Amino acid sequence: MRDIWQDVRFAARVLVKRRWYTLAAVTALALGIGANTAVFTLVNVVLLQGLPFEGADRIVALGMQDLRPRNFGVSSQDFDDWRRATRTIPTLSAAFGANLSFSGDDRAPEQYTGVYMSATGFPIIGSKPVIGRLYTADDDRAGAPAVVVISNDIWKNRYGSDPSVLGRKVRVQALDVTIIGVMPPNMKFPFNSEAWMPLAQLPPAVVNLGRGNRQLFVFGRLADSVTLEQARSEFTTLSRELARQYPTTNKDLTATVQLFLDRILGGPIKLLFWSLMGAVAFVLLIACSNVANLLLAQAADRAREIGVRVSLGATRWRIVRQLLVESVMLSLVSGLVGLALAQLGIKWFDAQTQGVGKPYWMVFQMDPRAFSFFVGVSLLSGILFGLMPALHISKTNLNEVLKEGGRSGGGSARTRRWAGALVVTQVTLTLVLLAGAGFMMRSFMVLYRMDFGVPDTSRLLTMQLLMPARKYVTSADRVAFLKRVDERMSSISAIESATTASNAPVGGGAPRLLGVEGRTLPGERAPSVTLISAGPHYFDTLGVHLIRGRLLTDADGVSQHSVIVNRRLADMYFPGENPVGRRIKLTEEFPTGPQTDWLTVVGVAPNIRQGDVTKVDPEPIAYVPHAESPGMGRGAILLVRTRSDPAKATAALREEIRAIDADMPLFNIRTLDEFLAQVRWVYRVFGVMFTAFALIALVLSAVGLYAVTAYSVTQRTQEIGVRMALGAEPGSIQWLILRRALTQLAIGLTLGVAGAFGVGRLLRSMLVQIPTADPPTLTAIVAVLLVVAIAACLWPSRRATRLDPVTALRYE
Amino acid sequence: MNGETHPVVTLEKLTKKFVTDEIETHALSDVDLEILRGDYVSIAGPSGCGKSTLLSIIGLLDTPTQGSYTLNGRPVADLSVAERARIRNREIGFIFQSFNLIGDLSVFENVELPLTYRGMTPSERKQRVARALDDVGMSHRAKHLPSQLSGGQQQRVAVARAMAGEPSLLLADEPTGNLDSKSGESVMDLMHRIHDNGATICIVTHDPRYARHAQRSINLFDGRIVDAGLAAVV
Repeated sequence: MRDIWQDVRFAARVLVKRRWYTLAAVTALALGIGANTAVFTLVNVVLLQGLPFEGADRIVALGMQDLRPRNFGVSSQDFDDWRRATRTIPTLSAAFGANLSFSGDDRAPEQYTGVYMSATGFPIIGSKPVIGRLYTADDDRAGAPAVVVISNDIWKNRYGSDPSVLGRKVRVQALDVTIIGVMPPNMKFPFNSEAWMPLAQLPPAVVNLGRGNRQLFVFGRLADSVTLEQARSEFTTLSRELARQYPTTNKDLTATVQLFLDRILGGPIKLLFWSLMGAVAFVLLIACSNVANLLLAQAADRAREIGVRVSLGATRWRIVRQLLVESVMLSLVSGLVGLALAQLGIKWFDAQTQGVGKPYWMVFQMDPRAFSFFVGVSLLSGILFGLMPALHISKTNLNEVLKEGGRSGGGSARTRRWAGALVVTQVTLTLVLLAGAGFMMRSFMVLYRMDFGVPDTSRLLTMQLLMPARKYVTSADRVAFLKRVDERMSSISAIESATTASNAPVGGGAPRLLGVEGRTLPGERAPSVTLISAGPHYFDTLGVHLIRGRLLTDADGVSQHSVIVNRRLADMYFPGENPVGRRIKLTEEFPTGPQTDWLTVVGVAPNIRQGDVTKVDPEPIAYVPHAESPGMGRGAILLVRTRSDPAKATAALREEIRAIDADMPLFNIRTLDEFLAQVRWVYRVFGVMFTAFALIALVLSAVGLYAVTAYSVTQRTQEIGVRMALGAEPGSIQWLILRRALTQLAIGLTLGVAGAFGVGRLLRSMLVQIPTADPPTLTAIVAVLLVVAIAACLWPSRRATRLDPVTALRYE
Repeated sequence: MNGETHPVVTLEKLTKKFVTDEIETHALSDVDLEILRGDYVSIAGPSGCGKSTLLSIIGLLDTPTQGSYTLNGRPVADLSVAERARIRNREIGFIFQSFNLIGDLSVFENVELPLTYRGMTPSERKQRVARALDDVGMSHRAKHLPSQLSGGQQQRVAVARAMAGEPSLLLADEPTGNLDSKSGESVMDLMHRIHDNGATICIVTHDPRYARHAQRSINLFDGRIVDAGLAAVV
């Protein structure tokens, strides 16, 4: 232990003495360790921490999947059948996410993210209230008095943490409800929920839509000793039985059972975070290679010292230990700086992900696991970059270094080989990183420049409203309400144009099966198109002019059944024809209402993006009046183009809506540009992160290449002097130095391009309208790396040509 | 010293070959040498004759290609790397032409270094270092860094470092080569004094003035001992 302390003291002295080397190494390592710590913290929070409940790995989510395969929720009828039959998941709960408006308690109406959830949901997650009680099976039955459990945030913000809130009456979705409990802070299961109501309170208008209406989110806890596979097997059997009994609604549908977290982390989230982890691991490897190269360069200085130590009886292990203590100390100092950088990075990411709908339990901060990772990475980096140079130096040829004028141990062919290998590694990893960043940023740029189909998004506001099912029971009720909203909005002077719609641009739409009158469409199944129901001013408000035909009018949906199709639908199903005047039918896949009518195409609109923006081709879309959308949901969008100040228009709009329905709040008010920014956030944030890491890697590699080339010049100074004395031209001297660097660069680039193809394939699902080996991106990054790398080598190689031959010949 | 002279070093038919680019160079050929306890041997010869190679092999820094080497009665051919390090630390003291003090360590710490490798307790180390520095007259510079000392002072510290562990054999490779004549004389006087105190010394030098300090002088030429004779005690 005493010896170790001596090593530590000596290491500290060496690091202080070689302060420029220390500074360079600490900078490189701090960036590497900081990036790794920050990204691991994110990965830990998103992918590793899991749900904040005991036995969370037994909580499963269930759903339905068709043959395409598309995922659906569960109908209340299927849920009831499952609940009765299952043995593997004895406690099943269903939840229906809803925006719940609170009013009628002498406070301004407010909209909260809420959930109708079976009483069994609480025991599954083992949650308890801080005050009051949770609802029970007795509360969760038809005809029971309506109750609500509120979140700690509502209790604090709306009711000032008043304990007498229990028993208070409040109107929720036009229903008189009693507050019976308050949840603990940070408990918002399952959908960032702020209020919980029994599933039985779900309006009949929602529940009774039939077995084909699959809107429930079902979850449960696996029975003890039951495996996920066993549960899957049971539910596959159950869904087959239901398909046999109810072929109209359940044919070809299979139940899915997966871990709850896997359901939440669907899509490319896992891939993105693990890719990011890979990226920062590369950054750290590059940083370690860099520092290892610095240490190798220092081998020349240290060789004599090590030689003396060996001659005095130090064993090889003792020497390696001494050098490892130095490198680990260096990495720990770097780790502390990296920790500060990581904290900044985590805060930045946290700020970027506010309001993007991340699950409530994902709080981006370091926990003991992340801290252990940080410590581990710091120590391991020290060993990683320190071990190779330490082993190398410890093999120093004593006879050479100890005799006067003997060559130092650092300039051997072995050193050059190691340094060369490290440079090749750096270039390879950097190119791979640049490729990943390039692909992500190009996807972002594609999205950023993508023509969503709305020519002018300025002064365009979007907002949401929700028509309570109890108050707006039938489709006709909802259509009438939206018609009145359309009329009232037209009268507001601050508004240039406004419309109601089922969905905003890029906001999705309802899938419908397409039928064309007098034609059998190819394929086994009817093709799917996106349905948007809209008010008469929809295209005017968006500033979109129809390609042909006319706009929808108030008469459409009343005296005539009309539809406007987009160009994509026209091109796909009416190629070379004018679709105006032709009739199409749009039916629900699992009908919940009466048969729909044939709709006459009255116009063709330009393509406006609604769904998956990563696809090159826009999807086929049909625009109908609200009255032609019998399955229309209770939510609607208001699209408003204001004349000037959006805030003024919003206030006026709220007044008008309140005049129609005093309990109807508007929420999610934002400009269309903000809405589009949210669509792009993943690409923006992850693109920025990939790019930042790639730039760090680029700089580190350039510095590494520079250092190795400069060191090579130092090592070959005498040789250069001899060559110059023999009449070598500056060009040939420069080439002498450059040749080695360029060879390493060429090998690194070749390997890196191969790696870049792999990265492209890995990120395939995230790329927006670019191929996995996008030639412009690859060409650009290779060019950037080439220019930077050559610049890094050119400098020291030019220095070689300016050496004074006399001095160089004397150099040792 | 009990009057009975045991060989500290015994070399028999020692050969050292270097092979570079398929060219074989004989640094040492069939060298036979015995250094007895209490001997003061100088090795002389022109540059490149193999003096330093011979010293490196005796000091276990290098290994012979052929022949046998017995140190304090023990053949060293089959020793492991760790055992060689241990013997270097306990049995052999080195003095180099270029001093080879570690620039980041103080005078005290430089002298202490071999004792540290020996695993000695701090208090014992402190005593030994103080005594060694005192012996070479460098106690007053214990806290200085080597860069703050003159060449002669640095070599004195190097002698102190070599002697601190009380080795059975002191090897010096051109110890005066980097010193002016006055400092060189002073260091040689110091070596002489150490020998008088019973140390076994083997010194490489090509300066006849310093070779005369030794009891016995060995001349090397092209890796072979060409003359060995008893020298007069100075």
